[in-house]
Amino acid sequence: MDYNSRSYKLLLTIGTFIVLEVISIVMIAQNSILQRYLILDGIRSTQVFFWERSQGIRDFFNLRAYNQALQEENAELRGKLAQVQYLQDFKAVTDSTPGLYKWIPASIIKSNPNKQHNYLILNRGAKDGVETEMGVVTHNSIVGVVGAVSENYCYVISFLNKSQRASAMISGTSDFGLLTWNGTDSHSATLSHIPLSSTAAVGDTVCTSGYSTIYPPDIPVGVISDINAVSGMYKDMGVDLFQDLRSLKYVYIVQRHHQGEIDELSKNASNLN
Amino acid sequence: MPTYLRQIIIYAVVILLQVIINNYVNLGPMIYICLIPLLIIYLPLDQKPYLSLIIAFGLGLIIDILSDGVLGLNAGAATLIALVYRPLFYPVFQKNNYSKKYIPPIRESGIWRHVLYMLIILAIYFLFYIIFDGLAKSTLLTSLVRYLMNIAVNLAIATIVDLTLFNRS
Repeated sequence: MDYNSRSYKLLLTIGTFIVLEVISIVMIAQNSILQRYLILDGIRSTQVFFWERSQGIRDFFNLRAYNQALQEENAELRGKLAQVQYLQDFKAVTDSTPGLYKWIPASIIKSNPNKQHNYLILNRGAKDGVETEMGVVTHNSIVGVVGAVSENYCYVISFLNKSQRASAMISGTSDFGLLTWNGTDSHSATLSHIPLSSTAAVGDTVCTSGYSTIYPPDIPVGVISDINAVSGMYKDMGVDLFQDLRSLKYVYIVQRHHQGEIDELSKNASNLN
Repeated sequence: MPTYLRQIIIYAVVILLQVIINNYVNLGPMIYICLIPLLIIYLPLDQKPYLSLIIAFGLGLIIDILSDGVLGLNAGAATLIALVYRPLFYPVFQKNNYSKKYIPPIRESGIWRHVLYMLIILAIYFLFYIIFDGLAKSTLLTSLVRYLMNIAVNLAIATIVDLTLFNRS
């Protein structure tokens, strides 16, 4: 074969192109969160070291905003605490059953809220009891789901990711549907599969339903901004989210107690069918 | 300073700039600022084509890794434009009397030829990028709007960087 011939060079170029494109597309196709986490684990560990330090500098300049957010959350929690205290006083609750959910406070050390595939890294890991599939929330938003866990950190697939869905309902009604990010704006989401009979109106509050085992019920996430009928069967509703997920700093990782027992029960029940 | 050394320094600066933009500049989820196409059109024109492809793939992969992108997304798009930047050069710049080693400087060819060349390159780049980034997840209209917005924003930024870094007299 003449290695200087035009056809050989063309063949080499096209061959190289096809090989590189196939590699690229395979990488894109296999870019599941867990695989990516495993491949980049070593790189991430180094990056986390630098992120923590650079985040520290940015945090310093954002302290005023964080303080204000914490004060507001604190005031709301005090209000809720007073309500609980009031109820306890009157009902003399002696129930020793632990709460339905385990709450692990965490802070965000790295967030990437500006793309179509967004994620966060939190400063809590396996040694703090974090496991995959735990939900991550704040007092007025759902943040995402833990996708992978290392000893000291966890990797959260953000709700701002088109593959993510959460079960949500309209406050004051029994109408529930699927809440998904619309992919265009970090403040907006879509609540789909709401029955046509729903009487919900623009301005009504949307909160988590608790029907999945990932997010606790009754966390308000936003208000309905518009309503559209879809194919004569369902309504889709635009939702303005309460929390700008780009400005988050502190979150809670939640796990339903007895999760293993619920999973086991579901598994046994499915075997009966 | 030797040309190749200047070229390497400029490439390093642009890669650093790209990583800083990806990690610290927030223009919302619809806009992705990408300087890789600019680096690829400044690859030597007389270089072996398969080498250009490999360099472009490597540059894309570096950006994917350093800026937490979807692995392969920039690499695939960059490889595609490395294939077409040379065949597109002659129809756009028309004359053959330019130096055949690199794309001619703006003072020789005029800014509009650079802008036209960059526009075509960006259109090809974002065609790949947006198809694979939003595969089966976004509506056609959303993808189209995103496509046009990205071409417009990136054309403006690429022209500024082109004038600032690559065409300093």
